[in-house]
Amino acid sequence: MGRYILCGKEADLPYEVDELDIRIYTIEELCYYIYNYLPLIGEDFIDERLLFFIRHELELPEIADKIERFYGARSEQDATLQMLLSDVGYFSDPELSEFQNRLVYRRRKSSQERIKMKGDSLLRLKRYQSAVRCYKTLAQNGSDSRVSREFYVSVLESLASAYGHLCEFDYALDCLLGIYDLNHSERILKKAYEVCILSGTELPQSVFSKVPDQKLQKWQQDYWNRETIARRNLDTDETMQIFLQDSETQKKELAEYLDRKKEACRGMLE
Amino acid sequence: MEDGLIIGFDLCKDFCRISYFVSGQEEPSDLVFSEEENPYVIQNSICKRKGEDVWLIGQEAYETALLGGGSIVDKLLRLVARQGFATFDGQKYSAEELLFHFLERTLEFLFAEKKTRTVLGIMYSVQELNTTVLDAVIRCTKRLGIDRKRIHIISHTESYLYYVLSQKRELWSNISVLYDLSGDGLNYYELEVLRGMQPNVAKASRTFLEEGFSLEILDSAAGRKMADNIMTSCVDRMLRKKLISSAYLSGRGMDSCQKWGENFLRVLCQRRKVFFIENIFAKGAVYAACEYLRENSVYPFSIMCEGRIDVDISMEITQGNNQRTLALASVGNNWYETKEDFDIIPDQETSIRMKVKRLGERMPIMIEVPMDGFPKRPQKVSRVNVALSFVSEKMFTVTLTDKGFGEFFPGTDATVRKTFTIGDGA
Repeated sequence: MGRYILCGKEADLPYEVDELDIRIYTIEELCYYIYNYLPLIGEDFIDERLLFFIRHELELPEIADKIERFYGARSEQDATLQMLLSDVGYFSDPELSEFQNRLVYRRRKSSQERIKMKGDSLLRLKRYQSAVRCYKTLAQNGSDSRVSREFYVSVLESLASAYGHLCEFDYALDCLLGIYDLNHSERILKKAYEVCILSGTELPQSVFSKVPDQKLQKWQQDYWNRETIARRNLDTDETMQIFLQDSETQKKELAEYLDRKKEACRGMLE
Repeated sequence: MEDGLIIGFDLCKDFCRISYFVSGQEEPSDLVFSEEENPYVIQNSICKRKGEDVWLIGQEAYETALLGGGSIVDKLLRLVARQGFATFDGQKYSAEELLFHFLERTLEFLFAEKKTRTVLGIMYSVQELNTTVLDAVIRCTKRLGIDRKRIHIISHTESYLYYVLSQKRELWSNISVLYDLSGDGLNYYELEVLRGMQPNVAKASRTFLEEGFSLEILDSAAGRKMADNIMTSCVDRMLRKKLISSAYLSGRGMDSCQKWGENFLRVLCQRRKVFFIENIFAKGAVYAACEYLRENSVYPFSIMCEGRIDVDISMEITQGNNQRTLALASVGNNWYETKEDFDIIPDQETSIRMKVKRLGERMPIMIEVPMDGFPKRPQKVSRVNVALSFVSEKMFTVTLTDKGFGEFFPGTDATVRKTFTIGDGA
């Protein structure tokens, strides 16, 4: 049977979620964000800014006080989040159970694995710059003995992918060659080869001189094939879609697209 | 109560009257507009002096227009109801703009006399609750710098009810009646307290009497005789079998009833207390305004009269983890002031359902407003604004607007509006 959830106040000053570049205006949106973007929720999510937002902007001092008391006493963020979701009543009991399972799953992961999960989420959300930041934190700890080589390799590979999306091919190539140094994987070497072709970079002879010409030709052919398919699919590309719109929409969407790109570039410079 | 004016503004079609109350007074006072024949009345007419930004109202407006000093608009409320326009000095003014100047100038009389502009509350009393006029009156009063929360409107019937209930109990222990004779005709008002309910109900009604006559007939002896006969037969027919505690007379036609209504007054005054009250609706509006300013009512009644609704409208909602009933309108609410605006998130629902229960009926009925034309989204990511308002005592409108879900799912402002007539499927 259905129901109607009575909404609370809309904030005048929203709570900004940098990772998603989105603003939250209501307690229901906050719950939605916590539930659906759990990997993005860091250990420091419950802070003064969040409590101020709930207490003053959403005018829910009882909830803010409860969070403060609960979190202050136990310092368990997961339990506090679950309490928040349960108190607001936006989610049904089965949804809350499912959320609890996801919390348990996340809790079993090491802190590095959680950062990796966050990076992967950001990569899926096309927040490449934020993803790069996550992966770089992990990559810098590569020498940490608690981190397995496989994990470190997967971080570098994801980092290369994020750099690739940002057209930072030099960095992407460094990551891939770093992986190759560790595991001498032919799959990685092929990726590095493709990055070089894509960016017009000369092949680093120290690595590629040992690869037989025949293999390089095969990789070249594979690359061309994929490029042909990619070109054929261009009409589904985001930018191409913009140009298919009428002039007014095109203007508006193009401005938004450029804003996003500028934002990403500014992030790169930070 | 803080210092300031509590104003009762009787806004009729052709004229208006003002009563007011200031701290320390026991009874409302009537505002004197002029030293003319009827000092408490000002005609709803406005004139703009030629070539100047000077607005004149009432008698002064007529005089200026007669001397060719400007053009005049009378019967201003009728023009407002038609959303009409008037031209002064070659410039077109909307009726609402003229109403604003009229109200400003009218209230200026009071502010000047009482040497204060602080308004604690202003209650307009109108004969017909016409939404176009009421909205314009509210907007104009707000423009005068009076906070919306301090502005209210009630019907003449309700003003009369508040006036009578503010008198000694012996005057309303049984039925109380009022005959109001004015240029608009003859109206009969009746108030009765229905005991045995919890709380007791004070019920007032108005009846327009077809027997009403033009006040011009009072200018001739034959006409006065006829008026006396009409009113005598009216009273005899209507009050013969009723236990009347008090009878009131008001209106321009009644102020001279001692001259033309000898028999009428003789019949009316038999074993009854009869009063002529000059500004009964304005005074009643002052009492009502005082009541609106109080935290706790001094009238232990549920009020039923013209302008008040006879239905409960509610909706089952979830707030936090609690299921509860959200009351949207209750029996006895003033329809014009009954406005609800809130947001909900439907969960596995494609329409909004409300419960409507009429006074005296045992079972409520369900009404439904489908969210047709709203964008398809996953469950629980559509915030819907629900606005409920009445267009009359018997008719209300529910408007649904799609607000999306923040920046996750931007709103489209898609809107669905449905009007329900009480007693006709609602």
